[in-house]
Amino acid sequence: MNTKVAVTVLKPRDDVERAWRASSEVAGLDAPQLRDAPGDRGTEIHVDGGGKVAREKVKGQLRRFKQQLETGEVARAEGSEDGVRQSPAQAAGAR
Amino acid sequence: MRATVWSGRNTVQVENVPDPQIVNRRDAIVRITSTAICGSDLHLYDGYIPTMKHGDILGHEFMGEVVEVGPDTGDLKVGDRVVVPFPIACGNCWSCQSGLFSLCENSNPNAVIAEKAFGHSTAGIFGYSHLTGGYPGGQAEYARVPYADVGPLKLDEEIEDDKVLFLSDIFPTGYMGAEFCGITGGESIAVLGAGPVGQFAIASAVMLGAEQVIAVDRHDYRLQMARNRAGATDIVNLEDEPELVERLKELTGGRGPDAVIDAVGMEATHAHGLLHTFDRVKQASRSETDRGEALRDAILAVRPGGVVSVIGVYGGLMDKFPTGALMNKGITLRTGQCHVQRYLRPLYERIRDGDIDPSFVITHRLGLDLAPDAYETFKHKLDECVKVVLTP
Repeated sequence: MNTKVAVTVLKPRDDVERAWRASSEVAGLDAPQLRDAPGDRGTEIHVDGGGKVAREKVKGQLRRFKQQLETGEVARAEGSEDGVRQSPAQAAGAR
Repeated sequence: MRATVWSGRNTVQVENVPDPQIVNRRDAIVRITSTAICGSDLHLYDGYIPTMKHGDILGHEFMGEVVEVGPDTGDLKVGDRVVVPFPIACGNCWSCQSGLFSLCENSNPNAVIAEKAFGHSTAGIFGYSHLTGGYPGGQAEYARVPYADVGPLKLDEEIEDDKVLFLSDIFPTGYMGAEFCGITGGESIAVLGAGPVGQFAIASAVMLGAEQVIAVDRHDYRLQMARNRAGATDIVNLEDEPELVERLKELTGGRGPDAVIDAVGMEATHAHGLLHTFDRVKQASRSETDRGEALRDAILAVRPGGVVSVIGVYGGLMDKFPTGALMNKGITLRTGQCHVQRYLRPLYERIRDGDIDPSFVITHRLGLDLAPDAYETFKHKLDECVKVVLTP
């Protein structure tokens, strides 16, 4: 079974490589395979996702890495510190 | 602050909740001056959109005044008056860069839930379940607006809330539905559903140059608005004319409309005998989320080679989808949540220039504290309700 997971980031390969080394989001993951995405769509990041449970976690890490690199921040629906755990759509500080 | 919260199926309450706070550097906090209830809020109210939780703040159509900004909100300043688009979009990813803001790749913190339902995640949406991010909504006194450097439209001129509030969703949504039809002049367009989005789809089709625009609904007062205010040339009341496909063909000389816009979505109520009963049973037992009569009729009525434009909201799965007609008639299917950010400026200019005054759909105005009554009035179409505006 293919255990690879991938995400495309709209940034040049050099930027992605540099950000990967500095990022805490993807700390602990093996070195990724990077490829230029077709049609000037940035850089594809391919990594080993491991088992089924691990794969969801890795996908989350890749998603937040992409968010940080493309937007400068990790999307949060409220004030959760890790950006992973999400709570009801209530105002920040509701709990 | 006071906010409208979801408390289970058919129940909303206005409660005291903590004020929103700046969470990320590109956030702003908006003090809301006007907000509205959307037809798609009724899908939440009725319990057909999964992943709602008790206490979720509703509302995705709102505008107001910026009262706080994070350090990276660009030109946006405290005191600016803004209309906020309902899709939350980063402006940086490939989708946003391509103008596909409702498909933003970064704004949904619950992308993992959306991927399971749809294969991919789409943009976060204010006050619209955890599938689209779990962001608190705008039927409240204040809201946190992420990526505030990208989304909000700054209003530099004096213009009343009523004229611009619907730039947040329903006017651009209706406009995009008409734009999907590829109108170049002289077309016949049918619009299924004469609710607020349908009204704007009709008005937009007229603005874009359609020659014949047929409004379809079950409520005469909505059809009168479609004809007298939005500019429909023909109206069809399904209560009188249940054979919709035949009627639309006849109205278009047997050709069928060049395009049909589905502004109904997942809770169609057009009675259709056995198939309707089948849908009601499936949906009531939660084994089908989407009652598909409007979409089925659109596909059967449209002329061969025509366009079916889907802007009514669907949430999950429907049965008895007419794939044979879809394929053999060579239909182009266009769909999507509106890329509001793309339309804000050009449609604002149309309003400012007097081409259209979107406030014609407003039938009810209430204080925010009366939101529970407003939902009931809107849902049951009491008192000839088309659109409710709430004032915090």
